[in-house]
Amino acid sequence: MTPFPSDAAPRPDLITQTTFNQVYADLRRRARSLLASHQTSSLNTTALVHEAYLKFGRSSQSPSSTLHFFNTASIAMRQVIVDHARYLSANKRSAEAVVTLDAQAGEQSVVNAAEAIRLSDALDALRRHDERLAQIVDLHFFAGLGYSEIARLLGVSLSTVEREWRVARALLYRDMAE
Amino acid sequence: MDRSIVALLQEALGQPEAAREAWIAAACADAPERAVELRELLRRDAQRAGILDRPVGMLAKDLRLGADHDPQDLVGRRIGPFLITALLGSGGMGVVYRARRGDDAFEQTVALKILRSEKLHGDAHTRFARERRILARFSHPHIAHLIDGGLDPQGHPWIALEYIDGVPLMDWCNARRLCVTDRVHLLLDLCEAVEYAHRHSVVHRDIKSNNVLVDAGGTVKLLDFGIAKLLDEGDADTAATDTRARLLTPVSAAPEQIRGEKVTTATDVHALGLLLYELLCGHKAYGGRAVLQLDLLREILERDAPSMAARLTSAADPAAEEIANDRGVSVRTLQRLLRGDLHHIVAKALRKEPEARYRTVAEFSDDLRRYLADEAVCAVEGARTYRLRKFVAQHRIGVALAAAALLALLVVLVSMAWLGRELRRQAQRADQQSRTAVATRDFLIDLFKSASPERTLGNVPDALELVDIGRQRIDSDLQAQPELQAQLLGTIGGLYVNLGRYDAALDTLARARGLSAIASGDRSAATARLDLDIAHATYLAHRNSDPVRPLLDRIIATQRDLPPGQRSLLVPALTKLGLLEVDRSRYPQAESLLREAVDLARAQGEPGQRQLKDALLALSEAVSLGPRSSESVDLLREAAVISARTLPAADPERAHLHLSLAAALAVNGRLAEGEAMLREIVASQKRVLGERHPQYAVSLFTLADVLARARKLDEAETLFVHALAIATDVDKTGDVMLLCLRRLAFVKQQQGAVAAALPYAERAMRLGTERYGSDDQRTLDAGLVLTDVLLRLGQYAKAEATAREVHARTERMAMPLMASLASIRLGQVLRAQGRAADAAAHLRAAIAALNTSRGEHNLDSLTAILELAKAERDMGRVEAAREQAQRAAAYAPAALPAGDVRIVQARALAAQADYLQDRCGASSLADLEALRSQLEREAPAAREAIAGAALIAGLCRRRMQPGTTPDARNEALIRDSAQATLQAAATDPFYRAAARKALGMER
Repeated sequence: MTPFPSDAAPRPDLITQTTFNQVYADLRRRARSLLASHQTSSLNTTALVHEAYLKFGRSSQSPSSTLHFFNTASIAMRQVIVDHARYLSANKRSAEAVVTLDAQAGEQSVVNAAEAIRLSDALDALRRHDERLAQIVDLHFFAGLGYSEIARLLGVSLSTVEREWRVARALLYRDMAE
Repeated sequence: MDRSIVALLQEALGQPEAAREAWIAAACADAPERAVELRELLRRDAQRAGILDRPVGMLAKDLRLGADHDPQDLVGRRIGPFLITALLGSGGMGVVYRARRGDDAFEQTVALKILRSEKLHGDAHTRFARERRILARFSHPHIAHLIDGGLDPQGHPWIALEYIDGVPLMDWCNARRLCVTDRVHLLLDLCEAVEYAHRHSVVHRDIKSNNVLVDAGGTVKLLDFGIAKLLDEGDADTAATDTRARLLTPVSAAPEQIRGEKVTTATDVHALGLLLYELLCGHKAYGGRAVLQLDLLREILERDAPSMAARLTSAADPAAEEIANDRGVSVRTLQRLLRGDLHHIVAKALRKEPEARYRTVAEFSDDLRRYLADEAVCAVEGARTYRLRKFVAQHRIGVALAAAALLALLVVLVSMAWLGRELRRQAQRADQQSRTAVATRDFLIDLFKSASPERTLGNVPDALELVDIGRQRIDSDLQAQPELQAQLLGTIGGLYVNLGRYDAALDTLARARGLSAIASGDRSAATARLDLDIAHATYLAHRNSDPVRPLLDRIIATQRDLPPGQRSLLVPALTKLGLLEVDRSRYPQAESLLREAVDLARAQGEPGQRQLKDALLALSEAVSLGPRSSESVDLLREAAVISARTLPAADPERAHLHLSLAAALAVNGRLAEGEAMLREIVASQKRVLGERHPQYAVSLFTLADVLARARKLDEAETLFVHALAIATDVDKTGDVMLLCLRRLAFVKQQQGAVAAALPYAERAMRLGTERYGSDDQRTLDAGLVLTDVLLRLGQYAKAEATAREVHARTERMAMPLMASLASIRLGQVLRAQGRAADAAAHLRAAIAALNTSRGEHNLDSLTAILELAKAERDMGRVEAAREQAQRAAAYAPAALPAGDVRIVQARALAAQADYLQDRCGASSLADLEALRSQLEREAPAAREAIAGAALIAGLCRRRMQPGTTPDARNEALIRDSAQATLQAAATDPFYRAAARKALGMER
């Protein structure tokens, strides 16, 4: 079996590796074209993930399979971001790389890239200790799902999700600062 | 991380914010490290501006996820007339494809470059087209021909170049193990191409080894001619164009390119020099050790390239043997070749200043040809004069660089000014950079703080010099960068404050504020922080605070509008405003501000501890001068506990707080306790620090002060003299010396040796004027002491002149408390000279001012009231005198015990009124006698005062005697007292007049 993109990621039973690859490619392509078209000042990832859900995930209707789909989609979205961040920081590191001295945006994106990578690493570490907290971060941050949607999918109360998000965020910020 | 901390954090988050600290303390009572971790996590929870707090879509946008397509996507697509067939390579600047024009009769293969990182707007389109046409006419065997160009649908420029099926220059040379001579020949071909372009007024701007290919036939081809310029927007003829959108490869950039200065043919000479350098010695000239781009750019700007011979062996990879082998010679032979004329030629091509290089490519290649022909090269001739000039220039910089490590830090920061404007802007924006700057600022401040003369009495003579140099450098080097300049000037201002140089501090901070207001806005946080610094310096310097107050008011108002979690400047702002109120003697106002600051800081829990300590210290100062001064003991105790927990053991502030606490105990009636604590501190410091330590001198002084207060005058004098001797050697600020001198003058007066007090008072005055100038509070305080001594010596003219000067200065400086104290002295001096009416005016003004600022029943105005009673008496306004005397007597029992010397005096003054109105009774006599006996007991040295009191008592008794026969004993007493009164150097005019009358000298 081909290794799953993130070793620590929960392996969804109902979603195959093929589906993951499809979702990943789809999110990546549409994210890029949306951003490149300059029609948007920010990327509405929530819409993207939901569109992907309509496209790939609708076949199975049970809440557990829906959760699995969003798990997958959030990991795919995270992968899109982190892959690009790694590409950016690798490119900037070489002294040979051509830079535009004036493009502060370029420099800023390297800073953002480093931060995104640190976040991803911290999230992996968190997942090893508390899978549930990491899952909340995946769903809320990367898939852009709201607290109430997550609460419904996980079958817990809204306040639990909100509190767990804050706990996860505090832990991640601390780890990222170290 | 373990599960239980997660559970704990969840629970903690469930607690109301105000109750959290208590909850943590309870929950983690047995595991303090757990409490620390929890607090840290809660602090993270309060952080609301991190990566997770913005939608991931913003991150995606910031990462420019959409900025470039997957380069592979374009293969098989059409750009202009070309069909893209393969991806050749990609970089940050763009992507290169192989493409083919297939619609014509002939088939043409091109290298098609799409410049992703650039977009052209407006005029640039036309310019791009025009430049393209010029380049398309280029025809040279060593230049890759430009075939076509245009803009893709997104507006990215693309160009199609002659496709060279070739190998990069370095690879080609090494693969064939070309000797040095052959390599020089190849470079000469390249020079020819560049010369050709220069003749057509086109500068390449980006010559680098990757842009030079050698085709299968061994022909060198230079790629990308004029492309860098093609992409410049705006007017091509001005140097200003270079400030925008410059694409360049850092390792092959010339200094003027990094600085954003005019690019000329000399820029290409530099690039050819770099190419030659690498061709010959196998390494790039710059970037040997540099990992960061910033370091690399600095290296190019500031350091000469290492000589090729040295560079050959400096790096492990590739090894010198391998490089020599690639050139078909031994390492030693290669080194010999590289040390000779080639060294001079390369060095001349690589000079930092464009005008010091070969003026043209032709001159450069001529010298290379002369080298090949074994003729003398030109580069050698110029080298000596050049080196000399260079040495002088470098030496100048070297002087500054050679300063201590501390300065080096500052220099590193400041030498950023060397870098191009864009680079600096970029560096500033980068998060990392600003964090470094802040860290540097804090580091320097802390460093200087522990070396601060007010704590170590100036044992760091170099610090001031360092700061002065730092300030000059900021002024001269950073003008183009007001934001950074303001920030660093703010830092320097803070350092001046810690060094006790308030004039310089206020001057520097004012400049920083001006810059900051322009650069970041009048209401920005950066400007607000500078306002706080200015307020603090103003307080410490006792300067007129009127201009600062509205700024603080505004910060406080702005902060109150923010949500509670973000009011980070509120506590410090309240604290500073409170201190300014203390300075203006507006104690009730100060107290209410500072109490709020303390409460707010307490509510912040652990993170607010340092702010809390500062607020407590300020509050203790405010209450120490009011009716509840004993509270200051508790406040100082709490501050001391915090500092013990949050400051390193060696921090002088800890010792300072202990001293303040001991002093506060002594002042607040717990003399024995304070004295014991101080004796302990002094003994331990003598053991640990030794007697020559500034801190020891301070402690010794404080102990002596408490002893003087306890009327242990002789021991106090000994210790003051001892402290003065130490301070004379180690106290560079003069603060402790000045205090010792003032206290010695006081002790001498108390001992009755007024004449001996005068030299101390005069020395204090001189020292203050020399060290701090005439307007400093310390000098003015010394002036008041000198006035007291002169007054008691009867040197009225001098005393009056001194008091008037102090008064005038304090008025001008808006120092109301000091002005009132000066007014009282002036009243005393004037009355002593018989000018009671003038005296009364000054005294009334002082009383009014003091009562306004410090409330009724303050002890300073009591002195003024007593003096006013005497002035009224001297003017013959006996009823008014009695009124003032009763007003003074009313200080007991609320403010003072009935036995206090001032109360006794007040009652005696009322009795004098009785005597003057011929209403002497038993109680009048008792009050007059009480004054005399108290003076005999407590101030045996004040003989003239005792004599005066005895005289009036005798006169009163005489009046009360019923018969006409005088009591012989009483008459003798009257005569003796009157004579003693007249013999004294300085006597109260009232006593003097009474004495003369009693002796029948006048009627």
